[in-house]
Amino acid sequence: MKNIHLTVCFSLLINSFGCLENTISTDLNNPSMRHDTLSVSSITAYNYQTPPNIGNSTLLYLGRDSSGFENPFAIFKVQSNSINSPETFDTMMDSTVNIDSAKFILTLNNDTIETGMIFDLYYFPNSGDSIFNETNSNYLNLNENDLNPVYISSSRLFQITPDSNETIFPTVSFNVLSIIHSFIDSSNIDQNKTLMVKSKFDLSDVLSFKSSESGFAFAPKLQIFTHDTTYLDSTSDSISVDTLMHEFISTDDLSIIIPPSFDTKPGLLTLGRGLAYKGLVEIPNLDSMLSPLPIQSIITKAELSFYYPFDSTESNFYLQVQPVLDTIQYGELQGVLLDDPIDVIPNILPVVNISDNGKVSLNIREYLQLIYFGYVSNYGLKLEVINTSSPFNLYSIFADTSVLDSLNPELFIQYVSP
Amino acid sequence: MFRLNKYYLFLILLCSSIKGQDVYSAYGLGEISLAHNASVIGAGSIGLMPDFQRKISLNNPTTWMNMPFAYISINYGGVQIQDKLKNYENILSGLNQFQFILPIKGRYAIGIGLQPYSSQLYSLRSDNSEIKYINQDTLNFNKSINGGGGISNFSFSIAAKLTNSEKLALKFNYLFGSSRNQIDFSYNEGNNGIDDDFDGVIDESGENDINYIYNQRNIYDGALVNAYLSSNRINIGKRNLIISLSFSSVLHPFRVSNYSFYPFEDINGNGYYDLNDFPQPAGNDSIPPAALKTELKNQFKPSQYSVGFNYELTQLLNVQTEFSSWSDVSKNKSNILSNINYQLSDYNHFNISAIKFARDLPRFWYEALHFRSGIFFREYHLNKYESNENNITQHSYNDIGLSVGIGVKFGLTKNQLDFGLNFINRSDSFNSDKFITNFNIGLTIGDIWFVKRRAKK
Repeated sequence: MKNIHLTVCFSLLINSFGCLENTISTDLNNPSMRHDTLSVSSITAYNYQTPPNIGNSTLLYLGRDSSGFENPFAIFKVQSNSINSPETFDTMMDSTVNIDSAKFILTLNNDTIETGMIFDLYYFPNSGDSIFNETNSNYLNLNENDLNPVYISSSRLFQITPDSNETIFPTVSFNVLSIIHSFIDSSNIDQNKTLMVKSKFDLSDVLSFKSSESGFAFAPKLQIFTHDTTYLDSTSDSISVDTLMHEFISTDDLSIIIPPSFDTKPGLLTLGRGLAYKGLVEIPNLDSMLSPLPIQSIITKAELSFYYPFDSTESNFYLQVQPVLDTIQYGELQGVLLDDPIDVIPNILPVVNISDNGKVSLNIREYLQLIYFGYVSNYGLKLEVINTSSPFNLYSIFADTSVLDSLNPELFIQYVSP
Repeated sequence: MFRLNKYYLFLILLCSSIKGQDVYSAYGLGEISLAHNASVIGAGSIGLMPDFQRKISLNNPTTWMNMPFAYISINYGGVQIQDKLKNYENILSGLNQFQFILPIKGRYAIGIGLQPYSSQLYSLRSDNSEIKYINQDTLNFNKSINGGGGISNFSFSIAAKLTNSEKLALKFNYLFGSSRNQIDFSYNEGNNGIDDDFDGVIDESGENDINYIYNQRNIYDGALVNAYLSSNRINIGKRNLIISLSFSSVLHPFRVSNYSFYPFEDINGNGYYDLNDFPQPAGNDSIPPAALKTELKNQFKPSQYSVGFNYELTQLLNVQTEFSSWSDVSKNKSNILSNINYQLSDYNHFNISAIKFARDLPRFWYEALHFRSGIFFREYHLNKYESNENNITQHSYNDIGLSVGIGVKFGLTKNQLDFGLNFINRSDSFNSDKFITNFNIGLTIGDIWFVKRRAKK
């Protein structure tokens, strides 16, 4: 027993010693983990067109652009819950509520007032509540005349004079008191909470208004003013009158864009939001180039590069690149397609801000790595411009041009393999 | 209480292992453990000849029948490696050996032991960086590798007297263990003028590196058998000459299960594979394929033969010499065992030692001491495998060592405390030369087993 204790104590003692482990420098030119490159140049590009839709834009447009884009009307759907009080459209219909006034307000995106412009407001009392969809409605499926709009009122742009250096945006304020009861009446089976704004006269330029995506402060809104009478005590006639304002903002809004006719140039891939030109890029040899890579390779960089005619108006835009989900049927991509037939795998590749001069480099390594894993098939990439300074800008990139080989798209891959 | 202490002891033993930290530790299976206990280190031998006590070696089961008691032996060792050229040093230590030896009536002996067979612990970085010019960028590549682990050896020995002079023993060794190897491959495209890690230093070394980490794990198992034959039949004059032979070979093919994990870009630089890294280890469509498992047999086929002579100059003063040749006879040309293409192919050991043993019944305190010393030579050969070539190039390095040791006997059951020290000069044909100090301390406790004790009245 005593001997065992001695052994245990000895073991504990020797385990308490420390060690010094310095890193050693040595020649490590062994073949494990090698870096190599691949270059792919046979890349093809194809254009197709869908109707423009800018429902998620922070701006709404009215008027005619110099390039020929027409924005005939903007359409709004107002939500039935107030954002600044507990009132709803239903509670506003109560007989105890006295509506003093009601107006629909639009805010201009420019802080300089434009004179001489009159706008008309319409509503749709006989059309049911679902007449447009912010993400799907466009000039092909939403016709003003089919909707039977009913005129409400007209208004001009108005700007409160700033009393300091603050920025006051001009607004258009429409009086809607005359139709407010029928507008908010939920007992009406045809209740419609949609409003439409259009210019009374043709506009020589495009005006932009803030949309619901720009935030509560400037979102298009319906303001209803009521007053509340309170007797201060039961024995006297003294009363208190409070004026209350209830705001109901627009949650869905959309300005319709009618694009001009446009012919794409050969050798150029044209992209644009207003024109809704989208691009498809195919790299046919990609599979045969990736499959021979050493096992367990990791793509360190994959730059898909395009060149574009350098023009200051073409810089600073955002390009969304998404892998195509299935085989592209090019025969179905003729003309303006009501629905985009190209399904994509979202959230694999990041949106890229293009601010370079003359060259677009897209990092598609996640896509290539997934192809190498076998999780994704190489059906190509869909290119779209998003979030541009103006939806009416067009962007062209050289694609499969015979003008100059050096302007052709190229894919440069770097990888590391064990 | 005794049972509890035994478990306690085994727990401590399992938590301990010897480690080596040098470039040699990264070759193949790592450094092969040559000497496990203090008496062997003190003599500078491989333990074939008696060096623990007179006619007894803890490493050679044919000598265990001479033990008067059962013994439990624990040895702890440390090694200090100094690079003569690059002026670095590493010190590492750990448990070297645990043994239980039971002699039976002077005719048989059995023993079990646990000791490291090989060990790896290395952290190496490249001393030259590769430069590539790609698309008008200058890329500086660098590499570091590190790893750890090793193979443990659980042994069971059995020995018997063939005649009064000849003894035979077999030692069965079950080898098991694992190792982890990691390659950190990094490159940078030059300085960016930004303090990326917010530590107040702009473009410090490594700050702009993009790191790719590749992990591998090897799991080993196999079995070896050692045969020992000793004879003390020969006398020269009145003095006895002990001759021992030993041969070791593979009993069960050595198996290596290699797990190659998918490399990843360590984007957040924490050294671990997590959600911030690439490819992301989450999401149904992004998780990299599982680790590749490769099972290899006959990657490692050790074979060893040894011969030793011990001559009694006097009853207590012995001189001895040993020669041993170890080689890996596998025909593989793979570097799967290591991140470095080198693998130990063979080594030869030769030593001459002198030992003055303690008296059985010491009259003075110094007569209870064993004194050991020796000089030894080792020659190692490394094979270098080229992935794109069939030929194997060979490098070598040599050790010349001096050993000293002392053993202190105490107690009625001939307990012993041993100290051993090696000073080794390592000449290397392709690495810088080293000076290695190897230290070992051993405690051996004797007890009487299987003796029917009288009941206390």
